Amino acid sequence: MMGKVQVYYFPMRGRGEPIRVALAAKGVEFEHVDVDYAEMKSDLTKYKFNQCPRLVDDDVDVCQSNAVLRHVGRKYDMYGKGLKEAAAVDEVVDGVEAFKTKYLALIYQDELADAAKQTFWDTHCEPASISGRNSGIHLAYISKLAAPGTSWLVSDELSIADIAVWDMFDLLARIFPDTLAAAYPDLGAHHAALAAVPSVRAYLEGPLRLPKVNYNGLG
Amino acid sequence: MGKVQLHYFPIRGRAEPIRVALAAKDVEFENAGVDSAEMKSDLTKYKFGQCPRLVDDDVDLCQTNAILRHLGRKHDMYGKGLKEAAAVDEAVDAVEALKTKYLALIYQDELADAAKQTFWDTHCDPASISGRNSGIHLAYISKLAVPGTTWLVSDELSIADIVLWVMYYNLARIFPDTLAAAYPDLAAHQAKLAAVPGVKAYMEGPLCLPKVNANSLG
Repeated sequence: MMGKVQVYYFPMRGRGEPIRVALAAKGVEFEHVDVDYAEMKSDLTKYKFNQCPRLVDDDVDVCQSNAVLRHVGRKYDMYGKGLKEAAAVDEVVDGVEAFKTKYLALIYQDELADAAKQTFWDTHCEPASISGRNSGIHLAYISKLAAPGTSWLVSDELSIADIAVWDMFDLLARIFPDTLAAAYPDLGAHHAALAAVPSVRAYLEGPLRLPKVNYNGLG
Repeated sequence: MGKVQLHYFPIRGRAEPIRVALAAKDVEFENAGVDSAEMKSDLTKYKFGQCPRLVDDDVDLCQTNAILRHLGRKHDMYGKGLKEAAAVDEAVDAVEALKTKYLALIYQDELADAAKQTFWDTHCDPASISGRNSGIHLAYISKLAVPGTTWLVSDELSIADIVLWVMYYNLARIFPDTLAAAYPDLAAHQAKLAAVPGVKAYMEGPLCLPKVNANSLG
């Protein structure tokens, strides 16, 4: 019984996007299912935290975007090879998640106000500020996690670390179009390389890549 | 094969689940301490300018939960198979989210009475499970327990058990009268893991530090 993987989420990219890109990268067929909000807020068997995304496949029914991403990583060989690479994948995924928290605050709480945007850039993106007061959250830390000599970020194999970084860079590039690639040429090259993987390119050009990025239309 | 080195401040804090996990599997480790100046300047060792950091024969690793997941893989604490591994991850992420609220209560609100009450009402009181909590509530975590398994999500002890145990332990220190009554299942889990010989020996020994949080609260 091998039906399509189902990704339950709002009709936007948001926290569902890394999951979709990961599945697409490995040629795994999936469908986007608009989450039923009332069900999400009441059915604790399906929505264990009253939240989405939620992924259902032949093995799991799982919530929490990074738990879903790690499942996809284990199932489809996107977790590197061996203990050292797996740990490196986790460092990246956790680093991106912490960074994403600040991005989401900028989008949903600060609503991309100019002053907040500047503070975000200065504190968490500007390469020169890497060792400032940032609670360990800075794009330069993430950029430096790249292992020298590997085809992808931390492994010769594409991993969920690549996916997480790609999605975060993609989101940042939309709000810092003039400064991001110049400050992070390595991440810019990584972004282009992953977008050029045939299955990723097909996904980005197809109907599963939803136009709405965030819930409030910003970013 | 030297001892595992755990670099952290001389408190339990974010390193505690790591220590308990190592202890539960009888893996020898030392509290190696952290040089603050080095932590803030050596990006090879301290990739995010932060600790804990764990060094063993396989890895040199930062980020608390990346370390825990490494131990989970290395020492068979990740359940069996894809379904259990995913359940472990759900629990670890859910506890991490609750921990963020706990840490705000400790460090930002400094355990002020009103903040303590709000924390309990919003994130702990079983009756408020589907309230406005951003998906963060002890009852969600409690309900992750898989019926019929020996431990939380598996017949094997996993890092899910470890993180929950530390979280409950810390909460019990600040809600001594209400927590066990509200969560008898989690209280039973607490006692069961505390009785695992490696954990018991750890809690009674010199590696278990007296100070929980850096500001001595909680």
